[in-house]
Amino acid sequence: MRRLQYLALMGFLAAAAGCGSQPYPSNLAYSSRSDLIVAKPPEGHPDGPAPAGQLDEFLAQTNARGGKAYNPADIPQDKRDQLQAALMHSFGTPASPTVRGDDGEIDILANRLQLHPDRLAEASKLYRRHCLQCHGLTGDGRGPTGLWVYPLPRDYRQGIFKYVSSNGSAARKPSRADLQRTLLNGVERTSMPKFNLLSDHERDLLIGYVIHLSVRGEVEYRIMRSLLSETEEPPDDNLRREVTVTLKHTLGQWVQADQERIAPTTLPTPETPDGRLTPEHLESVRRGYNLFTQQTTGCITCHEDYGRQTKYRYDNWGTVVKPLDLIEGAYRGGKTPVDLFYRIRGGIGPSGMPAAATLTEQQVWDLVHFVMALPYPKALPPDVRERVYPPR
Amino acid sequence: MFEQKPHCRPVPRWVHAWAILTAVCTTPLLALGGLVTTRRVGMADPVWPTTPWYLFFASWQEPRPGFLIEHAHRFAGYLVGFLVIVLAIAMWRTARTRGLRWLGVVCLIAVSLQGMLGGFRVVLNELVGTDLAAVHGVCAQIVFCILIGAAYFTARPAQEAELPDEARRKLQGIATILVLLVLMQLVWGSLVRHNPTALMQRLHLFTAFAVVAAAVWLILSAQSLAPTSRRLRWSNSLLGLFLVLQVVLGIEAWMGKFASGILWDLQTPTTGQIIARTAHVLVGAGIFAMSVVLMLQTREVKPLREFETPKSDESQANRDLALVGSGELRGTS
Repeated sequence: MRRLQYLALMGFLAAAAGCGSQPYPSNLAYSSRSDLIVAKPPEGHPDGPAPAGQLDEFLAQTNARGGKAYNPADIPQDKRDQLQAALMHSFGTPASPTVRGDDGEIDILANRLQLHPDRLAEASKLYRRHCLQCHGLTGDGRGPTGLWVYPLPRDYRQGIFKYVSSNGSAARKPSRADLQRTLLNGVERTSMPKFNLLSDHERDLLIGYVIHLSVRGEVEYRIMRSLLSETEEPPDDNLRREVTVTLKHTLGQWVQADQERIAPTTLPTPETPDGRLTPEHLESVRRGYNLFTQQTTGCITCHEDYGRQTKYRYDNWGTVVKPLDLIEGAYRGGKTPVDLFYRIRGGIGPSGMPAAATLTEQQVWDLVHFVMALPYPKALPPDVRERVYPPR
Repeated sequence: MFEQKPHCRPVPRWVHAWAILTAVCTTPLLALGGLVTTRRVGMADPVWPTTPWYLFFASWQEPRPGFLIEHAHRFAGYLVGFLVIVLAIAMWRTARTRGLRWLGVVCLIAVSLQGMLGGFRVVLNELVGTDLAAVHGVCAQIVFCILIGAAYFTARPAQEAELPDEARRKLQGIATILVLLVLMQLVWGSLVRHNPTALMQRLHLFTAFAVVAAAVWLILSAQSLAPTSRRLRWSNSLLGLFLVLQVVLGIEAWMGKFASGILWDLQTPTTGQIIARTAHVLVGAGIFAMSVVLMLQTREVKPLREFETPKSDESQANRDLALVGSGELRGTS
C-alpha cells in the first residue's frame, strides 16, 4: 500500500513539474484574418451588445445599420496567400515570433521597442499562459473565453487602444507605461485581472508581445482594407513590399507614442480627503461641475444624468460600449487624478469620447476634481450636491 | 467508561438527513465547477471574495454567461459552506462517538480549505492560477468523498456482518486499490483539463485502463463472494453504471479535445463538448464516491461504542447547572 502511495506522489510531482508556461507548437501559424473588417461603425444607439458568443453575427449587420464593413473572404485567394506569406516573413509564428522587414530602419525601430526575437519567444509562452484564453492567438479578442465575458476583451489588431496617455494625434498608440498600468491594475469592473504579482521583467515581455501582435494585426488590417476598399488607394502589387512599408509606418507610430505623452505641468489634487474639503478645492469642483454640464464641452451629452442614464453606442471595432456611470466611481482607465487627466485631455478615441483639447490645464483639473467627487455627495459643494443628488 | 450499544443511531435522524442533503448539494457545485473549467471562465470575475448574494444583485443588462457560471459556482460553494457549518455543529453536539464528532469538524475544515483554494486560484492567478485550479479540481473530489463518508457514517450501522470475514477482507483490498487508482486518475484528469501535456495525456489513458480493470474485478468479486448482500449489490450496480457512462463520456471528451486538430487552448467547445466534458468530471466524482462507499461497506463492522460523560464530570455539570439556575454562577464563566 505504501508503495502505491509513494508512486502516486511521485507521479503527481512529475505532473506538477510539467506545469507552467508552455511554448506553442512549432508548426502553428498565426491565422489569417477571416472576421469582418469594420471600416466605419454604424451611427446611433444600439439596443444592446452582441449576444454572448455571437459577435460575428452581430458585426455582419454593420452595413445594414449604416456602417461599413468588409469581408476578408472577398479578397482573391492568391492575394490572401501572398499577404499571409509576407506576414509570416515579417512576424514569424507564435512559437518563433519576430518583427523584421526588407528595410534596415525596421530593425532599428523594432530594437527601440524591444521586439527582439528571443524576448518575443519568451513572451509568447507567457502570453499563452496568461492572455490567450481571452485575447486569442492573434490578439483578436476572440479567445475561447473572450466572447463569454462583457466588456469584450481588447482586439489589438486595428492598433487602437482606449486608455492611452500619448498626445492627441490621429493614431494614438499607448505608451509602454500605459500598457504597464493596465497590466498592473487590471481594468476595473471587467474580466481583465491585475498582473501585479508578475515580475517587472515578465510584464515588460508581455507588453512587447502585445505590441508585436498589435503591429501584425494592424499591418494585416490596413492592407486587407485597402485591398477591399473602393475608395482607398490600392496597395502595391508586391504585398511583401507593402507589408514592409506599412510595418515601418506603424512601428514609427509606436515609437512616437513613448515620446509624446500628455504631461500636465501641475498636480493640484490634494492627497488627503480633508484637503478635498477646503474652499479652494470645492471651488474647483464647482467649476468642474459647470464645465461638465455646459453643452460646449459635451460631457453631459453622453454621460447623461452623470452616467446614470447613459445609452449604448458603437465603438471603432463595430461593437457596443456604454459611457461610464460616473456615480459608481469605477474608472476603467485608472483611478488616480492623473489617469483621469489623460482620459479627459486626450479623450477615449475608439469609444467616441472626444479630447478636451481646447480646455486649459486648470479647466481639465477642475473636471477631474468634479468627476472624482461625484460618487461622494459629501465631497461636493452643497449647491452642486443638490443638483447631482436632487432630493427624491 | 464505554457501554456497548451495537445498533442504535449514531446521530439523530435529522442530522443524517442533513448530511445526505449536504452531499447531494455538493453535486451541482461540482457540476458548476466542471463547467467553469470546461468553459474556461474561472477568471470571468477577477475579484474575490464576493458576497454570497452577489449573483442576485449584479446587473445582467449585458450578456455575461462566463460571469454567471463563475458566480453560480461561488454561490453553490457558499450554500454547501452553510450546510456543512450546520452539519459540523450538529454532529459535534449530537454524535455519540468521538470519531463522528471530529468527522463533522473534518468536513467543515475540508470545505473551508476547498473554498480558500478556489479563492486563491483567482487572486493568485498570475502566479499559480491554472495549476491551483487543477489542485482545486482534485480536492473537490476528495471533499465530496468526505461528505459522502459523513452521510455514510451518520446512517444506522449494519445490524450484523453480512459477509464472511475472508470475503470481506478480499473485497476491501480490491476496493482500496480501486480508490487509489481512481484518485490517481482524478489527478491526471484534472491536469489534462488544465494543462494537458503529452505526459498527462498518456498517464490519464493508461490509468483509465487500470481503473476499468480494477472496477470490473471488484464488481465480479462482489457478485461471486457476496451474492446476497443487498447493500453491496446497490453500490456495485451504481459503480458499474457509472463506469460504462464514464468510458463513453471519456471517449467523447477526448475526441472533442484532442482529435479536432485545433490546439486545445484555442478551442471554443461546442455545447455537446461542454456537456460531455462536464459530465465526465461529474461521473468521475460518482465513481470515486462509489469506490469509497464500497471500501467503507467492506470494512470490519464493529459495534457502536457510545461516548459517555464520565460520572465525576456529570455530577460537576449538574452542580453547575443548579448554581446557574439559582443565579450564583452568573458571570463566572
